[in-house]
Amino acid sequence: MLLLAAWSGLAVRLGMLHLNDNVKLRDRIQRMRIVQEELRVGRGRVLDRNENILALDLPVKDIRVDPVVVLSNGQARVISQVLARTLDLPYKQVYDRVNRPGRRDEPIMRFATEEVADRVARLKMPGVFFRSQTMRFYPHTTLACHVLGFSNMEGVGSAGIEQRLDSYLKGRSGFRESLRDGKRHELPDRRKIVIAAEEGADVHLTLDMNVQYYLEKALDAAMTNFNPEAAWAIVQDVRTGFILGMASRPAYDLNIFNETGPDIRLNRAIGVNYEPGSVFKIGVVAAAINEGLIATNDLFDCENGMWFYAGRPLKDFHPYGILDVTGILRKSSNIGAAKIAVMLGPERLYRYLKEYGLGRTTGIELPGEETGILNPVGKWAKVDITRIAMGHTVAVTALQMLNMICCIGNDGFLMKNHIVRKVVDKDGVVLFENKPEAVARPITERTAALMRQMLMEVTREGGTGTRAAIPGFNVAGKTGTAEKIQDGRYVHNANVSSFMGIFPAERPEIGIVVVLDNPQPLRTGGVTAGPVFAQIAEPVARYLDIQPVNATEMGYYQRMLEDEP
Amino acid sequence: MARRNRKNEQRGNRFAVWGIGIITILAVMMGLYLRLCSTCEQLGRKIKEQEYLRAEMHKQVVNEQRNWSMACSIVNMERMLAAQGIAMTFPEQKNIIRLKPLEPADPLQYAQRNSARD
Repeated sequence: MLLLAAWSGLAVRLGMLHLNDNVKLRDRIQRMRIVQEELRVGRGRVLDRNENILALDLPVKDIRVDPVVVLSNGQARVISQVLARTLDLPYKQVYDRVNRPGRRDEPIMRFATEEVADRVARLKMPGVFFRSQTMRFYPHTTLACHVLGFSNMEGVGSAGIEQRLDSYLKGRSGFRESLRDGKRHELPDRRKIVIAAEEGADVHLTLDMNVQYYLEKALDAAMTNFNPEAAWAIVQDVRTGFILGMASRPAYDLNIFNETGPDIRLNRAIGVNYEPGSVFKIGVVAAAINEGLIATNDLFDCENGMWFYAGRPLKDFHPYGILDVTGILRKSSNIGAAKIAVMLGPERLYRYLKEYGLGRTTGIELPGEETGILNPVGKWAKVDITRIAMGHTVAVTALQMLNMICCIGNDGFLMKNHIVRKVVDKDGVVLFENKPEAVARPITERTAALMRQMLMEVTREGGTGTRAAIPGFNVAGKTGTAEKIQDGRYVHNANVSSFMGIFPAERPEIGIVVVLDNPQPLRTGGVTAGPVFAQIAEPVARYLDIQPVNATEMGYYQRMLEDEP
Repeated sequence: MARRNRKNEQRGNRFAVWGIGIITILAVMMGLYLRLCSTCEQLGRKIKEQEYLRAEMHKQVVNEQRNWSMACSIVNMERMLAAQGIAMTFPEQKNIIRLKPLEPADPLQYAQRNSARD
């Protein structure tokens, strides 16, 4: 009788379900069956100019537990012990996660590699499950850290190339709507909407991993040998303006970026304005030669180290008497450079400095680039022109200074800087490609050649930059030692020391700038930044197979200088 | 004995023929429907398998890329060389065999090279 009643009840319920409209119930079941999924894609890779991978997305897994299942089985301690041993985690940390009654999803380890996750999966522990993820991975850890930047835990580019080219790298997520069966498995034949995901494009840099390595190795040595607060350097292809290496110290491991402060993350090569000091003299002398105001052998009285202009004294580091223009550069005479600047006049000097690209960003594909400080002539005090000549009362970035000397190396052409060579999508379609592009020509080919000839003397016997010389090559360069401003005053024993140079001097191919912030106890650019330049230039020349200029070629360049007016 | 109504007999046969025809068509259509359903299901399963395979292959490729780039890392190479007590230097110029000439044969070509850069 009871059985009959139960069957009758079921029959009635079945009849009602079938015969009634049951819109709400049907909708609820339909909603439960529908599965909507965001199809996530990994970010594109970042590669150097030889296709070496500098950043990529790795498939990883989050290892998680369901405390309700684990606790109901009475296995909390055992599972915690096994997980702690397998994942090399403290037992207490794991047990605290597992022993949370009522919770269904607790993370044990985030971003575990596939191998580690597989090891845990093989143990088949009830209540332990996995969630697939991707993680940004930088195989070379600190290499080019300030250039590459990083993407945060949400996969959003937050510094460097990762930030600037985020729109290309991140790709576009897809979407899928379909139904699932009673076991909650998706039914692929019931898919209603499928929008395919677009994977992120690959970014190919102009950086060369090996050049970058030599650069960073030399900077690391400089941090030990000269104890600066910070150091930064750039290597540039003179003919194209492409950046082959760019580094700052201190550096940080990109894989643990969140353990680093913003000061260490700062890309000083483009993000720090500093007074350049004597390296700035090359811009002033080149402008005066270009205007035909001076010749290389013109003589200037350097006043035995003390000269008054506009009622203010100007001193040389060592006192000099009569020097020619080459001598002014070789000995780095402030008074000589100031006299040349006065001959040039503020308007013309300002025009040239603007043409060298000072006072504005270079437009390189990196975030956080500073413009430097170059006040308009109207804001100059009378004495300023003599201070600008020696690289004070102006501020620059290292890249701007490197461009100035590369312009001299490139027959007077100022090239646009690029650090991104091209962006290629997953189908191999080039989305954009950067080509060498000249943005200005402040000086003529002859002025550039004369400047190179004079700047070669800086690294020869008697010059301030002899320690920047490299065997087999002539290096055209300039040292700089600027006093730092502390509490509104220039401080004698705190300096920004730098060296920038191009080689081979006769037909330059590579330009390098090295800046050390407050090196101690040695302080001048010639004895601190100069050797760092040599440490970078020597292996770079061998690695890039740059050949020294032979006698025949040298003769050709010599004749070119003599023939032209 | 009543005479057989042949007309009625003929009509009955016609209904039977129509009935069998309709049932056959319905059966064929149902069969086709079931066949289509099963084909769709099979295809769906295949798609799912291929998607899984693709994801696994992608994982393998990425892991290999990571291993390769780690192996190519200069820091790791130097560490390995140091562990083996090997010092690596650039070769002497005389030991290098060049497959293409390095410099132009006559000065005119220097000029051409320079102007090409402009």
